[in-house]
Amino acid sequence: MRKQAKNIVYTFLGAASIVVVWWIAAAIYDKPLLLPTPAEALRELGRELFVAPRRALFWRSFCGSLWRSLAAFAAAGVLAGVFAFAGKAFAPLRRILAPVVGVLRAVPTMSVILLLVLWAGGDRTPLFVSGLVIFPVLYSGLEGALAAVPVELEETARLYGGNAWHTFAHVYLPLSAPSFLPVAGGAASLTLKLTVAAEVLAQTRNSIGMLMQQTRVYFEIGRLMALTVAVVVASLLLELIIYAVRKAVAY
Amino acid sequence: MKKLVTAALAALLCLCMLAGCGDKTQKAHIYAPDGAPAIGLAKLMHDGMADTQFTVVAPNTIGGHVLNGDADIAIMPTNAAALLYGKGVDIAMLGVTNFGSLYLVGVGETPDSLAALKGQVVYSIGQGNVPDLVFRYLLKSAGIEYVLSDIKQADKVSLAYVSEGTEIVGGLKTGAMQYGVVSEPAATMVAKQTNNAAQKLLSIQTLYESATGSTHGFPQAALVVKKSFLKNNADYVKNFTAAFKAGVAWAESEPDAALAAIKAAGSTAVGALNQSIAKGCNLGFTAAADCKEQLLAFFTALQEVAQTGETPVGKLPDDAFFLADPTAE
Repeated sequence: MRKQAKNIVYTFLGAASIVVVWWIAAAIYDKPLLLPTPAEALRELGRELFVAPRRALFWRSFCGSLWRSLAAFAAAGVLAGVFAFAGKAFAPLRRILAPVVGVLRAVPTMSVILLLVLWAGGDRTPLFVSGLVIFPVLYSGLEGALAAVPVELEETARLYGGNAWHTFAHVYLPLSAPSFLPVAGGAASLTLKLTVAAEVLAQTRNSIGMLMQQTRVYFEIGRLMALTVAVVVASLLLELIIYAVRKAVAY
Repeated sequence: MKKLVTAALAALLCLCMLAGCGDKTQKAHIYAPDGAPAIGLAKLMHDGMADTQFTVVAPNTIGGHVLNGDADIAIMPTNAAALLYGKGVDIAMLGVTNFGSLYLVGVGETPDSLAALKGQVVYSIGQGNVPDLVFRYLLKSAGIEYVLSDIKQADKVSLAYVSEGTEIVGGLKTGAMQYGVVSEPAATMVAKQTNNAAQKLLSIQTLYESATGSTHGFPQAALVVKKSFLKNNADYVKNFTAAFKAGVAWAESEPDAALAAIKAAGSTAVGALNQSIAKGCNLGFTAAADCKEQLLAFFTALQEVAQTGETPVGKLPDDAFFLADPTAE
């Protein structure tokens, strides 16, 4: 309990230090239109979250961005899972996928966005972009986690007459989860950031990215900071959810 | 002898140091967004002006340069200037320099009217930017229903958005898009860039004149000046304005020299320039105080079609924002 209390204090101090540095920088720069104080950003956040008519637009946009990033993460996760486990069972597939995943990891995100906008339109582009960028991260994480499963346990499972599904459910899944889930937590938060960035370029309707673009057009830097805080909090919550799942499955 | 030489050298050094003192005029920093507004400054850039630095920047950054004080004088969208003034930025408007350079481009025949665009998707650059808002205003004035969507809808005009003009050109070329609203010089270049698949169809400023009774397009861009700079350099601002007025249409007679001048100042977006394109940019100068009513009417029109979250103008500016012609004094 004492250790937990210490961790909470350290986390709070870390967050407070960010706010203090921000406040000092705003005071030194002394141009509130360009660098508003944390208090101003918090006031703008309050207006976005609670004051009509902006709150309807904010929540619609926030839910749109969240849905797109969760859909991209889930799609990339399912594909990564299917290919990683199939590659584990069938080594040639893993070798064929290696250069494909390498190329996907190396392709500049910007060129993907600019191409997809023409093919997929503004609304679907962020989903495809995030999925394409996160898939190699999840696949590599899962592939590494599966490779770390001791081969003796696989042989034991086969020895006791377990079929492939039994080996998957009782050996691969529980033993790969502890090392894969931290990667998934980081990937979940990265997916949201990628989605928002793609929404700005793709001019996606009902999105946080579009709201951020509007703040640039109308010089609403305080509002931009408020939206940034909202995205940061959402990213941290996503990581916290994955952390909770990790704790629940830990043995 | 040695002491005499040393004393003479020391005196010479002192005189050299004194040369740096006295009336040292600070350089004036003039900024313009790439495209039509920069073309209006081409003559000044070509001839040069004492103690003046010209910089052409990406259009989406001009507001930032004015906001953080880089620019002593700048050309910027009129609504953005009013917005910054309302937020307390130390600027005022010298005069309108661009009376609309927007065109509907697209494939096929020129539509008889905007009503022919029902059931079509029209793309523009950036939701909430001036081209988008002006086009919405024209549709509203014509009683045409519109919706923000990239899907065609019967009896309505769908408005969709991209972040760069090159996306509209690419879309028109591949057939993914049929119509777009773009500014000169891009509007004329569309035909060449799409291998004549698309071309300039309608003039947005002509449609605005029909809808509002305006006699000279709409006030799209203007010269703004930092008020503290104007206070300390009134003569410079007067001379600058006079030179700008004299040379704003120079690009129509010397397009090649004008293109070279703006490229030297940092332009990258103007691929080609000829008399027709320069004319299509609709450049000129009218002092802000002389077109105050037209500006206020334009700002009101933009606010009429702004949706939740869009604040194209903010508070309508007071009289102090609209400066009289400094060359008339």
